[in-house]
Amino acid sequence: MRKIFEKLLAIDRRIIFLVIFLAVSVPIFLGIKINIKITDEVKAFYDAVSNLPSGARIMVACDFDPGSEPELQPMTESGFRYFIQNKLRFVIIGLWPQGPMQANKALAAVNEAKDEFTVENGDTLYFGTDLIVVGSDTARYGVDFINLGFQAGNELVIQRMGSSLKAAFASDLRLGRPIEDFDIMRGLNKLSDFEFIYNLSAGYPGTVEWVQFAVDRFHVPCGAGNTAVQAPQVYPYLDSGQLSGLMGGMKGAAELEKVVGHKAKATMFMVSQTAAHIFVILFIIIGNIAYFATRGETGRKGL
Amino acid sequence: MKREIPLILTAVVGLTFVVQFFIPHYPLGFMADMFSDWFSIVAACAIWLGALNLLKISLNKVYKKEKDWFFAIVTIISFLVIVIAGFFFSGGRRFQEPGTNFDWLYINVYSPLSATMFAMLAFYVASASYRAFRARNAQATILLLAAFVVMVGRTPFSDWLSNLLFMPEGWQISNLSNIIMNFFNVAGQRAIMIGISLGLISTALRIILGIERTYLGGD
Amino acid sequence: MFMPKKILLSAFFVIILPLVVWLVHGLPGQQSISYPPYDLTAISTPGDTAGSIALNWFSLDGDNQSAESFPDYRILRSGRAEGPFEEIGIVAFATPRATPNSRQYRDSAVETGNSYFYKVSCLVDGSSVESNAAGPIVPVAQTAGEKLAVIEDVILFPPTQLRAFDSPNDDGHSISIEWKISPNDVFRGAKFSGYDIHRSNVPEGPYELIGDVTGGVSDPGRGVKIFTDGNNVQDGKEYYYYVNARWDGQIAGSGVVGPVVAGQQWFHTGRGVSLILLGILIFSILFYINQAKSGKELFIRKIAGLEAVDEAVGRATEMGKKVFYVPGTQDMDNVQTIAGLTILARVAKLTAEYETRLEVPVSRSLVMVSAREVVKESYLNAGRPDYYNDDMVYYLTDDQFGYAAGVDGLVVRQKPATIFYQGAFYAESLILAETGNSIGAIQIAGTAMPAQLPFFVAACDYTLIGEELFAASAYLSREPKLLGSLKGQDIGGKLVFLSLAIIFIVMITLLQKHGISGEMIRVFEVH
Repeated sequence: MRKIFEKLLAIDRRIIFLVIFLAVSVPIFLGIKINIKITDEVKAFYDAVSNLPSGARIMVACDFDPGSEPELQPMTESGFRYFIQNKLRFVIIGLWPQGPMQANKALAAVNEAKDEFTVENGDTLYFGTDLIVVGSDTARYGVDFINLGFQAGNELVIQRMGSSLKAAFASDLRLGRPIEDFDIMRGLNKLSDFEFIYNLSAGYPGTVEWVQFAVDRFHVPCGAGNTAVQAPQVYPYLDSGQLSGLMGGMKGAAELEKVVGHKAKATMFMVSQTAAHIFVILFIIIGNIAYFATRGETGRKGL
Repeated sequence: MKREIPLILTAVVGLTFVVQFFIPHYPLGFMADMFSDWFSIVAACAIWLGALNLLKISLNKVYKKEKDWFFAIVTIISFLVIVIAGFFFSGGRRFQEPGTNFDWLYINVYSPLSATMFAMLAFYVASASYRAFRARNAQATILLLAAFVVMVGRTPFSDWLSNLLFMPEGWQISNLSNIIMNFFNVAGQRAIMIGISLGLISTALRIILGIERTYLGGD
Repeated sequence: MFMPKKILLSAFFVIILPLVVWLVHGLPGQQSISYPPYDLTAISTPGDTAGSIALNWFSLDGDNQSAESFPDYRILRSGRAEGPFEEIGIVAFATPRATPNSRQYRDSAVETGNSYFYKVSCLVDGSSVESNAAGPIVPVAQTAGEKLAVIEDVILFPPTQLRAFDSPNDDGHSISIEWKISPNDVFRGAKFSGYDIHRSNVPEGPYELIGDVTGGVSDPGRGVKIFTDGNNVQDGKEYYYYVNARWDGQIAGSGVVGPVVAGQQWFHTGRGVSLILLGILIFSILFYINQAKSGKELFIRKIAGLEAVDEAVGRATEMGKKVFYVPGTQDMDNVQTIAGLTILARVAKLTAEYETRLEVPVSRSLVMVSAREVVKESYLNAGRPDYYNDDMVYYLTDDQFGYAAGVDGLVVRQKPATIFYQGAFYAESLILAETGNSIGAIQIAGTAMPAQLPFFVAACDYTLIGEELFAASAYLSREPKLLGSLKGQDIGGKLVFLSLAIIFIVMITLLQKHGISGEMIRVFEVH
């Protein structure tokens, strides 16, 4: 019996890897439906956004890369979908180089128009980039949303936007035109002119920097989506009211999908996450049983 | 002067930002904005420095046929493909615009590779948990139990388990998980954050005053 | 009589400091004035050539149920503020509302030029709920030729209580405008379009449109909408403003305010508390540095991870294997990277003395340059400059997981006996630490990233937690200046902050019933 426990303690990690792989991949194909409960943190975010007046301008700070896509991309898509359906305008920026490109991916994913393009007043407008259609609502680039791209400088970019938006982002990402040429940017001179910040963060610079600079210094309310690893770190900000709401990890993304009424990838992948959690817990339990069994037998022999 | 100039620069810029926080009047506010802009420029240049440095090291490796020089060729080719596709084959559009070759490479090559590396964490977490999480003593046991509650509480499985164990309303696993996250976790995170912040201020003060000079190289 | 130092210090921390902090903290701005529950407002009806007065008030709770359960509103009027008020009309439950939560009434039986006062009253649960008195208001007849108001129309009420002032605590070129929102400004109301802000250099105009904002309040605590004019505002020049509300094709303007002049401030009054706390911290650090320089012995507790550095390098020497040093994945602007390089200096000195091979793969080119200087200097100080080679410190890639993959490959192929992780890490921390563990290396980690600490603790033999990383430079060198700053940060920082926090928590709890707890909580807000 002891040998079995000793073998368990020294188990090849590749067996653990294989079990985790199966635990994550198999449930996707089983199509299991699960019930997601909405936590207070996500509800707080939803309430904060739904209390914004029509036409309010939101800064969407995409501070993540493809590595965090499974957790943060669904949150980004849900956010964009909600903003467009509720006539909330948004300005996309990134303190990570990949962030604005992830935002473009999210916009393309959210777009429901089947056509590739349309022609308006002689201009060809492409769906998914110039026009985003969500249900019966349409958002137009430059009027309802815009992507200003990436700026190097980490938290100093946030500080710079506090006094001048144009100094930090002089032109937009898609067309390279000065920001004052666009309707959506009219009257937006600095960070405090925004009514809300929606930050999607996978590390540094991220939510902590947005809270320290944008919320504390320039008093712009902020809600955040974080990876599951980073989320515990920002709970103190939620508790103190510096953050208006928080989505943590894929569960937070699934909750946001539920609360905005459009279940998608995050809800689907929660089954895999649940299975993975269960197996990790089982491994820990088995490891501890083996540990105590071998330790106990050693103790008796020692006596 | 090789050491004095960086020290003077550090002191001037550091003190400007600190003083400007309390005294917004010209010229301090203006100087802080100017230094922020300069930092953005230096940070952008540093990105280029890193890329060119990587190219230099890889070329050197290929030239000297050092160990694993083949991987250096892969690095150089990947670098050149992305740069050339971005700068020269965007069809007259800006290279980051959706639909360009750069965008295609980002979505179909870079994104999956990056996501794959991150996905490895799932396996490492499982093997590290199996190996390291032992109930060796009372504190480790409490840690384990808290970990179980939070992990289960973050999944829909917790409701089923709570009902199976006849846990009363308000004391279900998801509620306990929220209590752990909102109270115990917040308390611990706050303590660490305060400690780290004080350490940061102290280290930053030493750097600004020139007491800490390791970043210049030696004492 | 000379008081013992400790009693004086205690008195300072417990009594004087909290009092100073309380006196210095930034005060909130002005509140808008409201008269709940009706907040009755009255204006001369715009567009009425005969002259009339329009009233607007917010509906009471229950005024959305049924005519049977909710009584009518009675409109009362008087020619004098003190009354007597006589009933002049009724607004029945069935009367269409102006907005989902407000009602209006038009009094046409008025004479132009006379002033009137109004009240609204409603019988709720047997008791009369009366509004504030709105007035004096004088009906003005609209001149012929302008658009007539149709009797069924809902009247747009203007924004009120407009204030314009120099934006506080800034470097000038900014004016803040605040106002109480129009009663027609209903949340997500389809008809309300927002506010336009107009500016001129002279009160009679011409005015130019300088910005527009959406509806709703900006500061729910004070009930005001805020607009900051940073549009080519010159310091010292006079400006005048008015605000138009836009609703269903109508425009209603506030009165003109001004003159207001922008200027710079010498001190940010909202940061007085921060200045005091920072000042105490700096004073404490400099005081203890001075004490350490004068020869006083300063105690520092044992840090297991740093005690194990010698043993770890020795192990690599005995096994004839390499020492790997990973100074984090962030750039030189991160203080943790600098702290990591400080420990690298110590490790490099040991490897030089023991003639052990050292490798430092880095993720940033600037870190590579600095790390080379650090290692070179250490080898020189150890008397082994010939053992130093630039290739000991080499750059891999900026990319997070590219770097992790690169280091993992090196670790698996070269199997170092000892690996140090000292600096700022993100998600790659567990990948690196697990790989090192799999080859049986002794691992010493140190980071101030709270999210990564659990991974290092699980996978490494020793972990420096948070500020232990910053204390490393003092701990390893035992230099008086560094030891002094460490003690200063503990005394001036932790002791002061914690004592203030405890005192205020106790006071807030005890004084909760007296309604000033909210103000006390605001003391530590940074503005």
